[in-house]
Amino acid sequence: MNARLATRVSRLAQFGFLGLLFLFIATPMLVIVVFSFDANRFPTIPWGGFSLEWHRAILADPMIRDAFVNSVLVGCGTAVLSTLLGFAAAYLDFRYRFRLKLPFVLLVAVPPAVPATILGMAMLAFLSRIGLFGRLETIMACHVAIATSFSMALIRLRLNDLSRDLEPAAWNLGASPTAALVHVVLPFCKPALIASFFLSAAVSFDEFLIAWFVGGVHETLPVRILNLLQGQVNPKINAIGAVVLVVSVALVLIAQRFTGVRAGRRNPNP
Amino acid sequence: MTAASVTTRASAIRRWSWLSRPRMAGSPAVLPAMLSLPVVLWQAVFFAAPLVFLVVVTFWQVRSFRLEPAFVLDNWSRILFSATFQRALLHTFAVASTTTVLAVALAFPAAYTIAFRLTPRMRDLAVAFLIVPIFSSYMLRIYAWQIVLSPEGMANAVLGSIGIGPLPLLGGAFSLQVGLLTLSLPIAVLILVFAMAGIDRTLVEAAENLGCRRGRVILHVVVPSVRPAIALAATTSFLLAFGDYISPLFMTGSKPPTLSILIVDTVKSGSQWPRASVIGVAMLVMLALALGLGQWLARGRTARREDAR
Amino acid sequence: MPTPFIALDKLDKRYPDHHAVNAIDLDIDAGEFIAIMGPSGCGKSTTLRLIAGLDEPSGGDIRIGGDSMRGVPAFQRNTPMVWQSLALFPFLTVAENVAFPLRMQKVGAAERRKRSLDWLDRLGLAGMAGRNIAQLSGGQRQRVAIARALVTEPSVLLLDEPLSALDAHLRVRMQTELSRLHRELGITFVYVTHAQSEAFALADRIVIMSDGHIQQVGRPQDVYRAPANAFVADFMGMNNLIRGEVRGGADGLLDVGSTLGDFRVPSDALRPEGSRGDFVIAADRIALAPDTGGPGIAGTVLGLEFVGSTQTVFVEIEDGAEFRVQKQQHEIEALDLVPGRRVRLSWDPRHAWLLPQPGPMH
Repeated sequence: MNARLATRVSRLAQFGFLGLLFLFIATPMLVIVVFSFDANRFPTIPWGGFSLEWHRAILADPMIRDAFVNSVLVGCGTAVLSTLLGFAAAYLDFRYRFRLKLPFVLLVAVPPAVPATILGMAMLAFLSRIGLFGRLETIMACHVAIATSFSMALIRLRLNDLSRDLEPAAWNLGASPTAALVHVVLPFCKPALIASFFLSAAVSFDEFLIAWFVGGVHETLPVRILNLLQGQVNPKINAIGAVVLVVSVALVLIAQRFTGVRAGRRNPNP
Repeated sequence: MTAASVTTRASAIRRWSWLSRPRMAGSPAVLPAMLSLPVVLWQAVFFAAPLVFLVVVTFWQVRSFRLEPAFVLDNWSRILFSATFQRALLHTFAVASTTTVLAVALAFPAAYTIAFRLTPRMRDLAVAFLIVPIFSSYMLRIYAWQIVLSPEGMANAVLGSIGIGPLPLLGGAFSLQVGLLTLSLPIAVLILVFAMAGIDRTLVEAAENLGCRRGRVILHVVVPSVRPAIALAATTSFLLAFGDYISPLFMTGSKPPTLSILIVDTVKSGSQWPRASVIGVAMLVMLALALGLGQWLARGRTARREDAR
Repeated sequence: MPTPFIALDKLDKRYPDHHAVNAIDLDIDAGEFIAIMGPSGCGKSTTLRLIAGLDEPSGGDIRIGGDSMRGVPAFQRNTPMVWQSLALFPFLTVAENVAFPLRMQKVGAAERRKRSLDWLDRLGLAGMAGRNIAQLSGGQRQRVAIARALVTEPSVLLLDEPLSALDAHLRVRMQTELSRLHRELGITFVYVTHAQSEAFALADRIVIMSDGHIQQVGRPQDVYRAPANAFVADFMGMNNLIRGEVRGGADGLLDVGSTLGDFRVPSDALRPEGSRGDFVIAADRIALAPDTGGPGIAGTVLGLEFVGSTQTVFVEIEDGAEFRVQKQQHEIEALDLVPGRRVRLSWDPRHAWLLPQPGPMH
């Protein structure tokens, strides 16, 4: 049976290729985690044995601790604000028709598509002129401008599943438009709001160029890493890297847990 | 409730309803204004205004290390005619184009396997697996490749064990593409998976049953259906590779420099803001052209098909 | 004379592409069960939404309890509606759904709970309070939607094709339920439907709409026996229309001439010779016999349709039009009606109904 053999070989080749591609994507993440437990000073093969030395070292480093705290603050602020703004933008797009809708949607959606180098430079140039340079709040504000795009997308997707009758039904039962928004639309969007919260936090936690440009003396964790990477080889990097990786992967996985996004179909009740 | 109580209720309402007349349908409203104001302001101040200012700054002057408002074209002519900029532009363009071709060529078969050969459950897992790296620690992953590809790294250890090498994997076009594909490949695969999962499977099966060879099915059924997604994957890959800063920095040590490297160097070197801005604006124009081209390729074909119908 | 509880006054609704409601006038009495019927797109649902304040009228006014609703937003009208889609809140439990309007009125939690449980009990949903909407059957969801609409004890209940999602036997049970609730509560029900059977079973009066106009308002049997025009006659389904011209008449009977022959039709007033004399004859008033000549009109059987214990016989008559004749099963067994059989249709002239004026349609 030649045809069957050909199919077998073809399937094998397809799955083999997919496996290699996944290996390509997974390798760097695995390397970071594995080497963070390596007792050697330099990440080389063979492995120098299991050690928590570098993890302890980063706990003792005040700059890393500060950077971590900054990242958490900026990340939480970004998560809250971009979820709120993203909800407002998504709801406006869902509910209303207005003349400037396309520019409005572009204003919210486009920022992640602008290379961070250019955006960071532009933000630095403009914000320093209006006296906002070098503040933690400024990093957060810039991260919000980027992350709102993702929250709007997630929440808009959820709103697609909101029955067109549900809001009018709430008005009909005595809810003012604002009350309907709070008591009907918000609870309906809850999974997407949670997803958006964690995804925005991940976007902020992962961003380094803009934070580097506008942050001044305030370093977030990725900026600290960037500065460490540009200096001498430092075994702490793997340990921080592992921490950052675990946090951001966790944030994205939690976000995914609350989205109904699937290839080929959407889950109506996630 | 009686009719009378409805009456009092309704008239009580009318007395204050002019204060905030809530929109039910068709009437102008407070609520949308209240919702749109914060988000529009925010995006205007922290996104639109900086970009507009970037364009404005390209016409400004630097005098004794201070940026001064002016209207000069000097920055533009100096940058556009400088050999460094032209070399960097060509280099960046070539690198990003290579990444685009590689990303689409590698993503297509992978997406095909995910969309048509995996069970729905496995497909969901694959999608989840692809989403994670998009939002997590790109910089760290590039650093990890640095470790893997370094002369004493894992890659050379593996190659050495089968009698090859050591090869100079780090610091050239190869490592640069590894870095840029780390950035763009997961997104390219995802875009194509979502598009292919939307194809009616019966269409593919019908074509196979009609005796179409698989290659022909892909060429005549799958590719035309996902053409816009291919264009989107290509433009996204190009956009990411063209603007990236981290891979050129760590995988080639900034040699030769890309436009992003040039921007950061120009900014860091002191007060040459206007010139850095020129590079930035030039990059944005190139990206807009690339996006337009992608749109045209995706839509042009569709329009032609519509016309034929 | 008492003022009507709900009054539509030249109520008008235009959309860019069509005129949904065309300056209609309608008075609805307190405690009345009124059904608005018509083909889809006739403006019946829009009328209901206008009463509820979910759409803004383009012109005219709505008065509830004598009070103009102009500028009164939906959420302050207390005109709860039962939706075709039910529009239950999927993220709330059964009891929370029912308590929603009370929560919007800032009623305290204990009171809310008590009243919503009362209403659930009243609709046979005791014990379902904590369930999710997704766990309920179609009929149970329907009851939740009704309980939610009635929990604030409104003086009017609007229903927009509430039973169309249910299967046949549930629909009949819910009709009984609605009838009972209407009797017990004594409030006004405005019921939009396209199903004649529901309107006939439930309503005190029915309103027939088409193209944004009210075609007729009346008790169900009156609308059925005495349609105001050709549209209503056709919409009620079981009427056969004969177009003709007045040739003369006396003693409350007009002579009408048509392509099918000459007929006598009862009429209160004389009409001038040559004026329109269109009339209808109800399907269940027609006698069927083998075609052996004689009075009436001849035709050919096209087919039969069973509707419960009755049968509808479709007959093609001489000018190519189709007549419907409704008979009890046993009445036509003897006739051995098969498609192609020639039959003769006749009726008592007293049962013919002269259309009051030439219909605006056709």
